[in-house]
Amino acid sequence: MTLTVTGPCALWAAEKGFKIGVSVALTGIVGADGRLVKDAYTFWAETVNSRGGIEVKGKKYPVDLVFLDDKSTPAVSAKLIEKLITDDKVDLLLGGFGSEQVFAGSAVAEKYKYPLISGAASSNKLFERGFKYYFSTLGRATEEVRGCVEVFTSVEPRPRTIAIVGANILFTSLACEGFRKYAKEHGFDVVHYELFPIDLQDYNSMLLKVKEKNPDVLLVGSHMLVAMKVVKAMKEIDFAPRGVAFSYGPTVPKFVEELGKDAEYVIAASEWTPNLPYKDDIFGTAADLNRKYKERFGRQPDFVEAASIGGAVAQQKVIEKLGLAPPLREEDRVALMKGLYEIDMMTSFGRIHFDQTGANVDHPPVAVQIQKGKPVNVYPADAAEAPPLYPMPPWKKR
Amino acid sequence: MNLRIVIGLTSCAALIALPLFFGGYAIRLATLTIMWVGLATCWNLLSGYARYIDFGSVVYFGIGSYIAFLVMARLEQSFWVALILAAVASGLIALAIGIPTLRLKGAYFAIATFAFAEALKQVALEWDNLTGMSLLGGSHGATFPINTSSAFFYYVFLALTAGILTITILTERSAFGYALKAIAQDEDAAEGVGVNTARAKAQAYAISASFLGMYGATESYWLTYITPSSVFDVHITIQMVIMTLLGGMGTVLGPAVGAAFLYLVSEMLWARFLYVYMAMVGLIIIGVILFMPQGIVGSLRGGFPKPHKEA
Repeated sequence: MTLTVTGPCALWAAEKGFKIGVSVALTGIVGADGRLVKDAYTFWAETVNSRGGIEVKGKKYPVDLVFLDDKSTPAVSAKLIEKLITDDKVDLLLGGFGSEQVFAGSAVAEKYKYPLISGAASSNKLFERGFKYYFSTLGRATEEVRGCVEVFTSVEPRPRTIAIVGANILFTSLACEGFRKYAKEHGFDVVHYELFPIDLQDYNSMLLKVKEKNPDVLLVGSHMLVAMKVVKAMKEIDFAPRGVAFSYGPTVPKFVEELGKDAEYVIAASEWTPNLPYKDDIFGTAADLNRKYKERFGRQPDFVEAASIGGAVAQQKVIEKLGLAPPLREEDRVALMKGLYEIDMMTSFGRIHFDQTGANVDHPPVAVQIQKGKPVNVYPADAAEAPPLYPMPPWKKR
Repeated sequence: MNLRIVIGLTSCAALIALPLFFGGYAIRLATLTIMWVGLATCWNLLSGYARYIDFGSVVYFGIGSYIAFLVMARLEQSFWVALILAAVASGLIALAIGIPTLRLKGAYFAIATFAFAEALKQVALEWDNLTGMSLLGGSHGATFPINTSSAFFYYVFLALTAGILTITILTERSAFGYALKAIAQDEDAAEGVGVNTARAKAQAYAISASFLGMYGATESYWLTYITPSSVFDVHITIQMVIMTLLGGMGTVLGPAVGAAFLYLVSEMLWARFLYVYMAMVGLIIIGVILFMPQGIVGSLRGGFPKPHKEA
């Protein structure tokens, strides 16, 4: 499946613009999440093309995106990255969704010396392979969930016991480890810890075990589908701890659409909200980005979308700075890779500065809560739009 | 006969020369096609010839993958050591598992093998948690050293597939092959006329397991990253089954034709019809099974004699 996004000068772009390939899940277990990443890059490309394209040495080159569906499968992702590079002959790549997929794909990108910046894959291990061409605008998965734990240190009455469950795939199990680490640091008592299969059918039994231990707070390592199934099951078995937080899912618009009122009070990890003081010269402030995105897609961008846009902007800025005109050669991409390590820039997604492993350093994690159908920043206090609503009322009283 | 040899030799030469003329994606597609041809051929050896439907074949693919990880990443030995150990370990485990389970018949054997594969996936996922060792990586997955040569993996898969195809050709005309076919027709009668059915089944099961182990080891090294869910994925088994059914069970070329056909057709359909291609592939499978019940190769040949219904 090839989908291309081109500006007004599509024909011209095909010859002289930047051709950028993206292997991302559009179907399969993270298909719904992956389609957000596709929207994000599409939005970036349309915005850049509306100004004529990426400016290199005074001349503007439009952007032409090629999306291929990795079916949420790592092996397919590796195959598609190779296809994009050798068959579609793209100038550049951008990263897809999900750590497993990006894991397999990044090895191929590394082999062909293509920088791969991802805004939706943050598992710690991705940064431990000594790769030079892999970058992530998100923080490490274990750090990303810090806000979700710390938000519970500021509520009254302070919870004492925490249960942690999560799907046993890479990202979500790391999120669970992060939950456990910060829960212990803040003196919470972890009364239950369980990883379950990603394709688990019966969430009710799994959560009944948790309910029996009566934790004050439930923390869940999740993707969108897992998060939705957990909330549905909690309602079915009438399990309402005082607080519940997810590593990923509730910020995806579909979560609120599907669950409606049941999504209220749910907390989620995030790395971006529109009220944060971030900005760049392409999208304006974080609030501007939010507004324009809403005009285009009829919904707020998720933090993964903002992070994906941030990565695309970072790559664009280095290309402009180094004056790399398409078609890019291998030495151009090597220069781009080196240039990416040197940047320390502000974007509408926030600060981007990669350490020597390719991880974005010091990206403060925030926690959001679904309040009146919208994700609202509730932590840290100095960035919060509203205080967290706590405790969550029992299901029967809603 | 001579024409056959000429065609055979020309195809071999073309396959060997392929990486000299193509690179990147084309070689990757060719490599994957050859891998699936091999996997379906492995499945065919026991399930196709003896009609012992194995729904857990992926378990040896997974075992091979993790043996390779232990040998290459933990013990820092070469890929060749890993490949040999993957074959030996998978074969031995298959014997240990096969000798009791191959006494089961029909659906019971299928259920037992399926359960074994699912159980081992859980073991791989939970091993580190349960033992407190940091050995397999659990749900965090396992990473391999990186080999960037496309041609390397192409030739390894080509050699493996040539190997299992040669074994299948030899089987077809040997006493071993006749024993398997006799089991498919009527196991009790075969036993009655002196065929050592237990031995033939165990042999076929272990040979195919050894190769599956080597395929797993090679694919994992190629992808550089595995998780229990990816290498013990039941869809791998299902794909082998469908490919063999499409091409023709119990024939030499059936699984190869079925695998190449299904892999390339779904690749082409996928490229054009992202959201509906699965339904289209499903229709094709249903069509082939309805109109060519002996599979593509079986039907072209006028059919392999129908097995006993109970088998």
